[in-house]
Amino acid sequence: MLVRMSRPPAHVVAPARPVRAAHGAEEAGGSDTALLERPHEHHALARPWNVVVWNDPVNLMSYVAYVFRSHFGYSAARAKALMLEVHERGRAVVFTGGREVAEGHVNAMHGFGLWATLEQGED
Amino acid sequence: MAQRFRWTRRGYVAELEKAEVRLLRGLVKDVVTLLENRQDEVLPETSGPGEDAVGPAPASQGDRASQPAADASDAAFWALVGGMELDAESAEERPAPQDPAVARLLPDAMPHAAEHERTRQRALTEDALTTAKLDDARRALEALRSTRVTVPHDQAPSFGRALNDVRLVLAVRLGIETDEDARRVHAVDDWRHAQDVEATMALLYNFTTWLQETLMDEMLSELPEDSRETGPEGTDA
Repeated sequence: MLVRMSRPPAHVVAPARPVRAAHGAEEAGGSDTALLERPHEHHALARPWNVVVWNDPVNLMSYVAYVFRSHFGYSAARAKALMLEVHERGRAVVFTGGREVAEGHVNAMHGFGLWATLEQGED
Repeated sequence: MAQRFRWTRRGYVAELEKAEVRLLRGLVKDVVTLLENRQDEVLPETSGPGEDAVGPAPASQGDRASQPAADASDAAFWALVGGMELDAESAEERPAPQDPAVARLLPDAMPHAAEHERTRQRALTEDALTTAKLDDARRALEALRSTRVTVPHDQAPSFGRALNDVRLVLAVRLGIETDEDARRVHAVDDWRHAQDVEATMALLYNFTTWLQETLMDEMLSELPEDSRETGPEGTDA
């Protein structure tokens, strides 16, 4: 089942102004709690952000796996599973956390030439 | 006949033909030109055009042997990861590049967001991304000065990124948008067909793909089998 998706479809839009405020540190994966508590991060921004990597026909599977392993420190098995998810389903969430950390990872993915986007988690 | 990248004590080493190195340098320079033109395009009016023309790498790159270790040589890349300040109130806006190849090198981080959020995000991040990519490309040009291409271990990620950027640009020019397109291009494998521009680009794309694959092959085998199992993420994706 090969999903050929050259660019992200338009329907995965994260709501621009989330109203739920109750979620925070627990859902951020526990690694970015300090960032989430920063004063300028209002409650509306407290829901975790996802780094999504999209399938594209150019990036090599070996390269994508290398990026996931070397940048995120994922195990070979984890990196391969994520890489296959990207390849077969068209996209995969490769990181979830606070907005600024997630943005840093999106930038890094762009530095590597992967097709990455930032979106806010649904719930 | 080109020899693939192999691990050596001094770095990853590939033996290429003179023509191959020359072509590859040309492709990397094309990436530099695209990025520099974009820099000029978005430059505030007060400044002049970029000083680093295409050609020899800047003097600061200097002798590779005297280069500092990975931390310093990858500075632009790590600035990219950690350097962005979220200052939404004062941020300017910046539209995406018109040239699809440049747009692929410098993609939107939030393509589904409202226009103003997209352009603001780009204004915050694009310059660091451009700088990091120029850094990678210029370092790659240094490594491509000889047919015996030696990439020090700590610069291998940078060289891999530079090769990937070359492939991204060629892929846009070749119209590779689906896996089927990729297969079509991959099927062009005879240099006797290098008569027209399209076929030549396809051959260059395939050559660069092969070179990158051999580098990744060696680099992957150097990673510890199971590094930090949990990674920076605490929960399953």
